[in-house]
Amino acid sequence: MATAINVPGALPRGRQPLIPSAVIATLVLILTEVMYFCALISAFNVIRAQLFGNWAPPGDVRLPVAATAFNTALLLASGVTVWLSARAYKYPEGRTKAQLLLLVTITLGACFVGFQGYEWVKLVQYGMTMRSGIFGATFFMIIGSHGIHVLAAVLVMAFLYMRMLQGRLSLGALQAMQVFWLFVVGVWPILYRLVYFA
Amino acid sequence: MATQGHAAAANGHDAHGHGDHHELSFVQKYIFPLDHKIIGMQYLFTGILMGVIGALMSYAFRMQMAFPGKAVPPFGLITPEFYNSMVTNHGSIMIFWFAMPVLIAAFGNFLIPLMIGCDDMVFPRVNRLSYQIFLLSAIVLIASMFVPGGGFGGAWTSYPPLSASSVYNQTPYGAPMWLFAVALEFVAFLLGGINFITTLMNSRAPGMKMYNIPIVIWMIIIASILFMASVGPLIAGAVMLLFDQTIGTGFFDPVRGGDPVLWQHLFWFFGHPEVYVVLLPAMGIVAEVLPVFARKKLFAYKTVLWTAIATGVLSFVVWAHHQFVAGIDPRMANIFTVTTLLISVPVTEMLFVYIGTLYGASIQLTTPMLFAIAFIAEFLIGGVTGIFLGASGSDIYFHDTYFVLAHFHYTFIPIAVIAVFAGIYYWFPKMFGRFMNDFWGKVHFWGTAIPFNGIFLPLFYTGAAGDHRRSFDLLNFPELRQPNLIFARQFATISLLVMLGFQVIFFINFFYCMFRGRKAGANPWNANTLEWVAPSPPPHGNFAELPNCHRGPYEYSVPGRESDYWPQNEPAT
Repeated sequence: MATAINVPGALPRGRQPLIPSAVIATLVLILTEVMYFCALISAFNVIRAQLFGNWAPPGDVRLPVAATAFNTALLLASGVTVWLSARAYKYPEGRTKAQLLLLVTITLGACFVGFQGYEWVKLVQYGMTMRSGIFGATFFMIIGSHGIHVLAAVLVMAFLYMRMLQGRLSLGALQAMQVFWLFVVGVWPILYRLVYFA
Repeated sequence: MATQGHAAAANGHDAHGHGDHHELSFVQKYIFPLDHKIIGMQYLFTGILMGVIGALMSYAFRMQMAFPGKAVPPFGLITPEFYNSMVTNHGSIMIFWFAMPVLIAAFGNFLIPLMIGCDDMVFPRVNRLSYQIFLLSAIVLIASMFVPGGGFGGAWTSYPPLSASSVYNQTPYGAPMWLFAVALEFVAFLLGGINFITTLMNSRAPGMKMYNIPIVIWMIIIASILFMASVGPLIAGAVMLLFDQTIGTGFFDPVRGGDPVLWQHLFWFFGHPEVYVVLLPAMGIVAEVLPVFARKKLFAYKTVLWTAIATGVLSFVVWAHHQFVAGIDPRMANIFTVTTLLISVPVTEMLFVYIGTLYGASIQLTTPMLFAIAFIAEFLIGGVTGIFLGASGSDIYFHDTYFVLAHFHYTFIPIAVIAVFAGIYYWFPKMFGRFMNDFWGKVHFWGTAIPFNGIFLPLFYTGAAGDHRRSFDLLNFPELRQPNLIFARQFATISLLVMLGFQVIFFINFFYCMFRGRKAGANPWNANTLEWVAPSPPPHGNFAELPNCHRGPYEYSVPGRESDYWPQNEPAT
């Protein structure tokens, strides 16, 4: 009988899932985030293409390309440290190393947000705001969307760090955080190339 | 708990185990529940309540269409602003606050853990948060109709520049609140969808392979993935539109370098997959009901599954058929015509599979089966009329007429009303442990299906004659004052009143049978899927003993067996 082929033996319960639930959930969230940033990137390109070269910032403001290159380096470094932290956390003897590396990641992320905030204050002082024109609007929309992601991720990482100090952090949660942070780090060079070199 | 191998324990949900759970207080159990079944019920009741509100709105503007300038009983004389606000909020409510919460969130929450044989969602607290945000979004939307200036009136598609500035839309508070409500609603469904996908991947009963998962679960999961992948662009667009409205940026203002058509692309990149987000769960519900009452194996399980996935993939490349008259390049319009016509192939294939399931079956015409068969017939009309709109040449004439309106109501009403009724009548014994009355169910069926055609068949005709959708009073146009057109509009409105009247029977039947209906056993329909293993209604923790899965979900009338069904949890021999 054809249907009888499709009969497995009863598997034992309690098998480990292939990927931790928290990581799957984060990956699904990242799917949405990727599409969100794709939409912003296409909106940027569509709006810019229709201005036929008149894409100058108001009042001749120049975006801080070099300072942001330094910021980019900070963010990329934090991607490496979070990866090392999650790798070390798998083993009991790596716990203190993981704590240190997570703290470094938080610090680097906070520095990134801080420097970017400082740049924004300067830009606003030069008269570039969301209302000053389409250049400022798209700049703050795209860079701001990314900045909010960094800020939120840094706050969550600080929370996870506290849990880690208390010894209550599961490996799955740290891996989920790592996946999200790697997304935030990975999308930044694309946005940097797109916005600052437009 | 430790024996169940999923992460519910890690979330602190019932760390003491389901076996020895204590009685929860009313507030814990029904107001702030962690139980997926109660959350599903909350979604179901909120969604149906919003559906009733949306239906009453349609009463207000249909009366205006049929009898312009006459006072409509509870609303009085309908002003153009009120009319626009009713049309806008009717569309938004029916799609975002009725179709999606009922089809995906209510049935998804209730069915996924039961049908894959586990005790709850992976993240029960996220699930609860999802409903609470959804409820908040519904409250914000309802409140937006009572603020100064009235509710938003720019249609559910919310095209700028009309929607981008209160100078144009005259609703300084209504428009931002509408956007805010939509955004909150998306957050709710993001949380829900993440939960569904994770639960399906990590919590299936042992032995349940990919091809043993019931079709309705697959459909809800595919719909969730579609939603996840398509909602990002709309969130981006909504944030930009909100900035345009509130702080005065110019993303969609051509004078200041923006592009209004950009919004149409961002909106419809979400909006078209959204059609399939609600279609697929409806298709899934029908796929569950048909084999049970046909007493026959679902014809071509794998075809249904893979055509559903093909539909999902194709749905991302059809969106610009909504912009044929928005000034897009005609060469691009050709491409989108081809993809649009192409997507009807997998959907038709699914309908063929369902008809194939009915072929040679011993059909029992119970109420859910009637609704399921009606879904196939009515959705077919919706699909066939879509061909004329997908072809860019004929769409230039039909665009924004009542023909379009009748077309998408012929798709959405089978999806969100007829298939939902099939699902409610079918799973009611599992939800409440009692049957709904079959006689009054059939009265309700005929009272729904016949007036539904009475509403929208005339609108095909008036639309082809030139009735424009976005018009407050069609008698302003001399060509549209012909008596036969006026009669067709009045016929549609009276059919609507009849259809709304018959829904009263449903509600009386529903609430009476919830408490007084005939008692149902664990498996009243002799069905195979795992939710019928659990007692009716399933207690907290669902199963007395978590089931194993041994075979596919549709093994009906297997030759050589005494009973004509073969539950998934029953071991061979």
